Amino acid sequence: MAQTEVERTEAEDPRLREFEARIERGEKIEADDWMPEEYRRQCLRLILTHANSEIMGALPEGEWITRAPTLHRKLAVLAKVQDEIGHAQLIYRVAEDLAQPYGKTREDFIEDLVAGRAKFHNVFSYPAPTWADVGVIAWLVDGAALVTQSSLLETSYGPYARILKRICAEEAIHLKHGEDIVLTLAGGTEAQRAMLQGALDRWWRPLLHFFGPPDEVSPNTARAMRWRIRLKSNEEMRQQFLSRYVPKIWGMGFTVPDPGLRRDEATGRWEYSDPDWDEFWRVVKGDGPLTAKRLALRRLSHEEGRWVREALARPKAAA
Amino acid sequence: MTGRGGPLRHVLLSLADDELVLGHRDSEWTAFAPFIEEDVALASIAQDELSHAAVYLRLLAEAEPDAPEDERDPDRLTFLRGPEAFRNARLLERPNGDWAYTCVRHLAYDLFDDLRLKALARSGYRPLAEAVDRLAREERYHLVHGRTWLARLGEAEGEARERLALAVGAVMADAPGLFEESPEDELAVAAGIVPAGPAALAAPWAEAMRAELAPIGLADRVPPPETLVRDARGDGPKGPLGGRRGRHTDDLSALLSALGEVYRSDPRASW
Repeated sequence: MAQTEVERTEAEDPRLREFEARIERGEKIEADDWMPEEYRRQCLRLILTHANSEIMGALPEGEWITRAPTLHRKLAVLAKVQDEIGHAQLIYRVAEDLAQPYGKTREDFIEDLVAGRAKFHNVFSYPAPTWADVGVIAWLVDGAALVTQSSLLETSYGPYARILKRICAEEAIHLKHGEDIVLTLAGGTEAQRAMLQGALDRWWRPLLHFFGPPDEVSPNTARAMRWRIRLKSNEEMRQQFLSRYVPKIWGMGFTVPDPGLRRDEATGRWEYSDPDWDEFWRVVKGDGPLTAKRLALRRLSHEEGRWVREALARPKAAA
Repeated sequence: MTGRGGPLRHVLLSLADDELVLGHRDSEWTAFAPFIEEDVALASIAQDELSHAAVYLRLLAEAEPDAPEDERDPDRLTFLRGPEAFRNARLLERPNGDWAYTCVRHLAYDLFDDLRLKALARSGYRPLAEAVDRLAREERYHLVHGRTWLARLGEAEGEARERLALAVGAVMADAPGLFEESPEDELAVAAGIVPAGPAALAAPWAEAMRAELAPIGLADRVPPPETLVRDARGDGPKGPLGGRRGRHTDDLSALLSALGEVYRSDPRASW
């Protein structure tokens, strides 16, 4: 059935009225509950993007596990990347339940990801060339992720809301780990401070892009807000992020590469220069600086592990 | 008995470096394992091994409080030593290869480490005897992990079976390095630090390894104990021996240059 027909049929469906009334009352929707097709699709897209991002997010930091500069840091980066992959494991399980009518499993999701057919967060298409990038990623990228994920704690889709509680708790620990790396470099040698400033400069634009373009009023978003899949607008979250982190960066004696950045005292809002939304859209479409390279790396390891997965799927006893 | 360069240092560095180098290799799998669950499992095992290395290095620092910082501080020992100062068996510095090699090597090492820790529980050096008691409990999980994978891959046919047989062959070729004796071992036995040298573990290890490989029909690949302690191929570039005496392969040099890349950029800085 074509999508428009599904939607027309659903609009007349008394179950839709009941569904929306439940959301109105603040009830959670569970995997086995009836839900409009569009709700399922939107939740699945949101949740899969999150899961894929946890997997792809392991790569820029993973490159530094082998090079972390103290035993303590090595253990901390390893534990953090392990957490992210563990998050992906949890989130894919929620996605599998949602995707049941489509008959898709985690293996399909990962095949989609490595084939470049699935979305993951733009931020993981950018390079992490120095140790300071590891600190900035754990502090600010995880900080941005925590703003987004905290806003989703009240999402109407129950299974996702529940795992987000655990994920947010772990992300808060990552933030401390990142802040500790950043503060150590900030209090370090001239070379270390320069390395940190370089990483801040590099990550600033991707961080502004993190929350998506402002004042997005697509019909999809309007519906996502009405169904309480999402609860905050992109700009609300970006403002929250700027309020939380810009004063800290300035307070440490560092800058961000935007001379136009200022807080309007009257409105309390942050004004910032145009962060090149064309670049944002290019990266969304798969043309980020390292999108192809990181996907190729994932694809390679996926292919190298295929014989193991096949061996487990077809043991001798079952043959 | 606790003087620098003495037998206690040799024993502790052999322990620490085995764990450090294998933990590093394990950590290289993070995000690249065949299953998400295995990314998580290997990251846990890597954290255990690296933490254990830190425990042994701290024991060394406590045993030699007057040694220069570079020979005592766990981070400096980890990130600044050259390959000639490492005491790990060569088996552990080989690159990860495929999943079969990773699992077989781990199991071979974990069986060896289990025997070694049981012996060290009787060490006359009390801080070591006390430490291994806790570490042995954590190592047990690694054995379970390795056994599970050996059984899973051993039940499969075709490519998995071929890879498994190749992996067992490669690991057995390097296994003599685990039992390599060096002059300090005799002193360590005399001083009561260890009840016996590493060669004494070869026979019980070969028996344990054969028991693991028997159900999948590969027990005959385990070398007899006399070959394990007197390997004819010795410490040439491709041979299994030399690691316990600081003679390593280029694989360790490459590993160490990654390991120390950031720290060595400024060893005096705080990181």
